[in-house]
Amino acid sequence: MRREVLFCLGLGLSQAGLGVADELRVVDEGSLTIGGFGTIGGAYNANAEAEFLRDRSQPEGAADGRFDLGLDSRLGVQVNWRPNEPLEGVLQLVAKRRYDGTYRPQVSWAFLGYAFDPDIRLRVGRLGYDVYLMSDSRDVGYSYLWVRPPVDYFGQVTFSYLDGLDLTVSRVLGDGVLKGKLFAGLLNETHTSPQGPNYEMEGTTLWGGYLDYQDPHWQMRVGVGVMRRKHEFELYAPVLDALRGTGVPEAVALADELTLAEKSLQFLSAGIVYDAGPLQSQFQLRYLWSDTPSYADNVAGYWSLGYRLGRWTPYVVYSRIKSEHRHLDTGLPDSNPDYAAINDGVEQILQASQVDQDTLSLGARFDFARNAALKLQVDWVHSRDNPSLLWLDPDPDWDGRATLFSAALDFVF
Amino acid sequence: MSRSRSRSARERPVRRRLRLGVLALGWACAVYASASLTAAGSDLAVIVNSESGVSELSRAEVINIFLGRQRRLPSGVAALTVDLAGPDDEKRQFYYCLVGKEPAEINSYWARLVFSGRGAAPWQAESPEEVLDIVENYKGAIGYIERHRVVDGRVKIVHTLAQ
Repeated sequence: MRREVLFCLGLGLSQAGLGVADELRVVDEGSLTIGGFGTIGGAYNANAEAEFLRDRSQPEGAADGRFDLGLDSRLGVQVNWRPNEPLEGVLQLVAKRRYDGTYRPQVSWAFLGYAFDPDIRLRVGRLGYDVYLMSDSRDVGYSYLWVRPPVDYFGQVTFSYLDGLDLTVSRVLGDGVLKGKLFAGLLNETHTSPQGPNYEMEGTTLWGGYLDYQDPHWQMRVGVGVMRRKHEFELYAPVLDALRGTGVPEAVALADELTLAEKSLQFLSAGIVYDAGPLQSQFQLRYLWSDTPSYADNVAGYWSLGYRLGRWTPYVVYSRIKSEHRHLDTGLPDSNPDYAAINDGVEQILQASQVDQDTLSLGARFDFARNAALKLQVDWVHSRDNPSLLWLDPDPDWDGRATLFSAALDFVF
Repeated sequence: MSRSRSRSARERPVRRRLRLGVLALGWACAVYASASLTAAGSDLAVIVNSESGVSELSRAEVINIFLGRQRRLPSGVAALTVDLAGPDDEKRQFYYCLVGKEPAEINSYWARLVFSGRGAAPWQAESPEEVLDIVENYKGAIGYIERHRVVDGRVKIVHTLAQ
């Protein structure tokens, strides 16, 4: 059985690998374990001028004095299969509000992992993506302090898994462990867009890696990623066609520049965690730059601080995201009404990914039972530019300020 | 079997007192973050298999191994961690004294690793006997029990967490 599985995997593993397998028997050899996690939670937004979203994959959000439970509620089930020590299989299904408004469960992980030795691991299949600290456990509310990961930082990270492979190598260094990871794969999710139609990520490639060092108190991670989109965003196509149709060299060149398809997006991230007994602090910073002005460069970061007092852990988080403005000249005079319409279309494309928002959050986590926690949080959000990137249907005359009250019950089983 | 049952019945009051003592100690440990302030009690011994090739571990190594960051013992053998999650609260005491964390925080830590597919939490043993049994039988096993329960020759003490 073991041999068959390895053969099917096609990993070209040697007999030496199987020898290691026998040596590393675990207590529950051949076991299949099932576990899961979930959150029942959401936010109350008194504001009727914009709908609050947890991230850009959601087609509806909290607004209008309604407590929206669909925002943060989710349920995950995970099966771990470990026929022997070096080989493992993981399947995870998560049900949460999807881009299409349903809660149909999606396969979030489905991979086979092989440890060539305990320090070198290869995983193949549908994988979590963790260049940003925590980005592969965003759905597991029980694993972090807050009601939800900071929206200014993670709201734009619309993909949660990668179909591909990753390789992790770790080494003890001083009092800590140094870990390096390389990953590559395809993104296959769909997300909503501020302007209406959904964007198909299908065929988008993502590759990158990170270095991570963790000792008893500190963790530091520096990572890079490169994402290359395959598809053009359908809503932009008419404007790009119109630019090309003018035959004006400057406008034609601009159309090529504004194309999203086959363009890359690079990001560089750094995270630092300090954890000492009751104190937990986390800081992350990310710089994202893009090969096309259709997706504005931006910088995002957050800092979180929590301190446990008995079973309560009050915390504070500050997060911010800000994009860089770019103005492009189409070379088409506004005096011509057709050209003016094109210029307007270009301006809208440039504006669509602009953002400038910060959030101050105060909250507390209450570990009231084994494997379950209750959280209460207040967010003061100030959106200074183009709220439509992170909010749904904002009123044009909205002042960009909102106060949100959130509550969540997180559990694992 | 019947012998052990009658013995456990005889020992029950003693065990209960012991359990209360450990609970009180855990509580004291929680109140006085500084270990030096707590009353003398039973220390926890971190134990490994006699054949593991390890004779001593630093505090940082114990942390790295039990939190799943370091997957081998320094001798190179793959580590199999065992928590003592029995009724006497040794697990609480162990993590509180090791990293100053409550069981809920340790659970939360493992939830992140397990549900992102990055490892499995330590084996949860129910009794010191089970810990001893696993450590005695698996080369890479590492666990902890109260120091006075360690039987010489069966396992090796590589670190002691003083109260």
